[in-house]
Amino acid sequence: MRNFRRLKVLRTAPLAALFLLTSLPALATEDWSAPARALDNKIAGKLKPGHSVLLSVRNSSSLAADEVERIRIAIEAELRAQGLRVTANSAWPEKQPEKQPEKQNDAQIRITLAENLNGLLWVAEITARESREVVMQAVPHGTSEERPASAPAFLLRSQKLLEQEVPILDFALDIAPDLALDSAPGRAGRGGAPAGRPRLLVLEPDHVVLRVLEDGRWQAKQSAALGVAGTWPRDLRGRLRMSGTSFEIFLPGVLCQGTAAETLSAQCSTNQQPWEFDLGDGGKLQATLAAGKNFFDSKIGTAGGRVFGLRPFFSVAAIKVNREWIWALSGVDGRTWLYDPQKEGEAVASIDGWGSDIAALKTDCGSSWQILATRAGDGTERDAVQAFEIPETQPQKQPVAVSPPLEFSGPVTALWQATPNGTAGAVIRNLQTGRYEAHTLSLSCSR
Amino acid sequence: MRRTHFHLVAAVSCALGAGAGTFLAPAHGASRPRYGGTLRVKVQARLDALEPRHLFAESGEQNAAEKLLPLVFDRLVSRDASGRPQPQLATSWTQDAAYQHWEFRLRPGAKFSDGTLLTAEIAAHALENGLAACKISASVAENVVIDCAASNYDLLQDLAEPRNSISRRTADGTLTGTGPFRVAEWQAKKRAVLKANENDWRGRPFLDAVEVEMGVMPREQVVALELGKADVIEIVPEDARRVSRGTLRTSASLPNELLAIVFQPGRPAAVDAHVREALARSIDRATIHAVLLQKQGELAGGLLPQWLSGYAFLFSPGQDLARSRELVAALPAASRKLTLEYAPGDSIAGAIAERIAVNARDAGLALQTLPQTRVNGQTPIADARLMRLHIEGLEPGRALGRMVTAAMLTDGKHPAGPLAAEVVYAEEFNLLEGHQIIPLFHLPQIYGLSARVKNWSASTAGEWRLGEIWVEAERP
Repeated sequence: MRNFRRLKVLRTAPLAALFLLTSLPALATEDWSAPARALDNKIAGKLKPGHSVLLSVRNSSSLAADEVERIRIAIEAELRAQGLRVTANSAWPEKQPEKQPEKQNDAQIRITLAENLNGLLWVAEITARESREVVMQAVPHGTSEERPASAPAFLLRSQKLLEQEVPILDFALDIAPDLALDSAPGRAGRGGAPAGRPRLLVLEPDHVVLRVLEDGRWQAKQSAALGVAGTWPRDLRGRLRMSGTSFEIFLPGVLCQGTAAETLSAQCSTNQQPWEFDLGDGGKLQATLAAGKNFFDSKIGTAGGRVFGLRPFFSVAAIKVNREWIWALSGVDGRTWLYDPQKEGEAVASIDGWGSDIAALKTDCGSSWQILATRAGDGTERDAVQAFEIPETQPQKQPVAVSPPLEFSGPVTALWQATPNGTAGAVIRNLQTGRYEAHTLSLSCSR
Repeated sequence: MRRTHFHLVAAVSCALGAGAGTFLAPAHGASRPRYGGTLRVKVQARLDALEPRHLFAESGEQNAAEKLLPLVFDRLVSRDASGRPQPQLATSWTQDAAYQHWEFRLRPGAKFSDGTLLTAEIAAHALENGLAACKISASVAENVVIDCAASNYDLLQDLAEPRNSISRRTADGTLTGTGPFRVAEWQAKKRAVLKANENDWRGRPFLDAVEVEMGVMPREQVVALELGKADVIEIVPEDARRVSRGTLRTSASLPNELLAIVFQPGRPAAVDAHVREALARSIDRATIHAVLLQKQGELAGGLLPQWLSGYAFLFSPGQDLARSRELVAALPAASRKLTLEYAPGDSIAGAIAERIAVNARDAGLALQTLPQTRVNGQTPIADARLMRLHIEGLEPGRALGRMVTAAMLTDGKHPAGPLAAEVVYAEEFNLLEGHQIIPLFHLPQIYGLSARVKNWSASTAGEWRLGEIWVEAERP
């Protein structure tokens, strides 16, 4: 037991360092020179070297103003490189001259940064003395990051670890230890990752994938097929639990056990065994997913063998209030119900307005225990996660928001308490890109 | 003592207003889908059948069928939000270098709603005669094989059309599919009940059933929604603003229908290009848009909407009355008379036609409007026709070709495969130059939704995704 505790501490510290390391904002900006060159090549093909042109650029796409300015500069530079004499026109000439450019220029060029279903489309209208011609350049979309609003108390932070096309059901962040407890530098740790290197185990509908942090990116190193036949429910849910070199995967009606040692492997079998929720210091709970559905049935078991008949629920969290445990269950009826485990099946309060995914956080902030909750809505809307506390002085157990909502670019499809308790894992389906994003969430005590 | 405050079972709604930035709590909250319930849908069209190859007389019926067919039937290939082919009943496919020989690998374990396993033979049989100049067969490896007489770059897009859905007729004559729902009750032109397909390979849909009532007039639909007797209704533009001003939810698709004047070939008054141009330049689209369409949709100077082409702004939809008058002044008096017909059940088209007649009169043209009485295929009696042209597919070149075919402007041949924007633009420019077709407005499909409908999203192509919909249950 003592060794286990020590291992936990050792594993937590590098994870925290990893979190800080990867929390640096992405500073990369889009490079527009290639599409600018491609467009300007087409424009130059309609004109002669040395021609003077009056250039106007306008934006009718979703590009931000600073991006538009960068594009304008890139286009202007490329036109000059093509041998044209460019005069920038800061105003947009609403009416294109009928085949008659400004007197002092050989041609007028109006460029519209437009957009269609497939991405950006830059359209250049070229009016020279004898002609009016149109050339176009298709450009792939860029991306932008969302920033959270100001905070009332604490600040909920999110770090995007990964995004991919394939749905992410759950993930576990970990540090690859040395299998032989040998600290020789560079020695391979579990799953092919060098000892001490962060690794990410990602649960997908059909595979579990091991990724290792290399050059700032989570590179896929190994993948193990789950080999599950049959039909998954819509709104598929899955839970991945790591413990040492082994892991367990809970899927609807399927239990997988695997190892992430030298090689990654998983063996799955049809199994109606309950899912196990490790609530950190709050113990363990067991619940069974309703057949073919996305919610857990009304029976909850504890590690001690007690069985409670509660309400069907989507997710569960346990926090301490007044030094006593409270279970929070987000019910299929749209309410989150609070239970006192000492009172079998008795709800002590209910909360309206939360979404269906919740997770507990144990932090150094406030009362030390917070519940993260998604926002009520549906899968077509941007979601948010917000931290709440239940004040000890609050007899009706109604929550108080302790962070501003952390907005995401799509619905939260999974929110699980991570080990250690100080973080949670969230999966987002980005409504703009359709891709799935794995985020770690943590609470910062200072604004 | 330690739990004295737990005596109270506090089913108290949480205001969550203790700090800035808290969630705005709706009446009920849950973001994860819930199972159960019946979705009540009302449509104006009256469908006599729900079969992939059924031909409908009216474009409104065709549009409604294309919404409902994917609820019951799947295709080998579907389209994503950008129009790219995506696996549906085929998990993957290959083609030879000439795009003539194609093989589609079927999704293993997919079943029809009656439990019958999908086989390559069934799929090949369903597609028979659906693809021009292509032979369809099943391979020993359970692949669907399509051999075309010539290169077929558009095959995937063709297979994604609802008319190429995979269906199977059971012994009792019922047509079954692998879609999220099965037809449990069908009263032709009146009512349909679709029940959840428990065998759906995507997982059972969240809804238990979808009830579709047909032949409901737009105003009746709005009343039904207001009275809580419908969950999904169609909204015509003139009602959209009134509905959205109230408490009802609306959802509009991208503008995926073109309202246009199409001149009828061979009609004497439409032969003169100057007559057509004079009419085109006389139309005050902005006023019609503001008044009759209640600002729904967009003014159209081109055939393809901006969201699809990216260059629609190059075609001006503005009025040029002075130029129109000049053109009319140069016409002989006999050429200054025109007739314009519109679909008789389309009240908004009738009102727009009347307004266009007023604009034409300002330019010096005598435009008579009349509801269309002939059936399709008969010799036209009007010089021009006000048409609704559905924008089919999400590939601009293909969509333009389909639109041109529907308007009977060409023989239906159009370039195959994805085309560069400049190529599509050049083709559209040439089509518009002669004013054989005058684009007026790009219109969205607008739906009214009850508050309990969750996860509503129509695809970019306009298909309903009712498999993902769930409804919020009444609170106890």
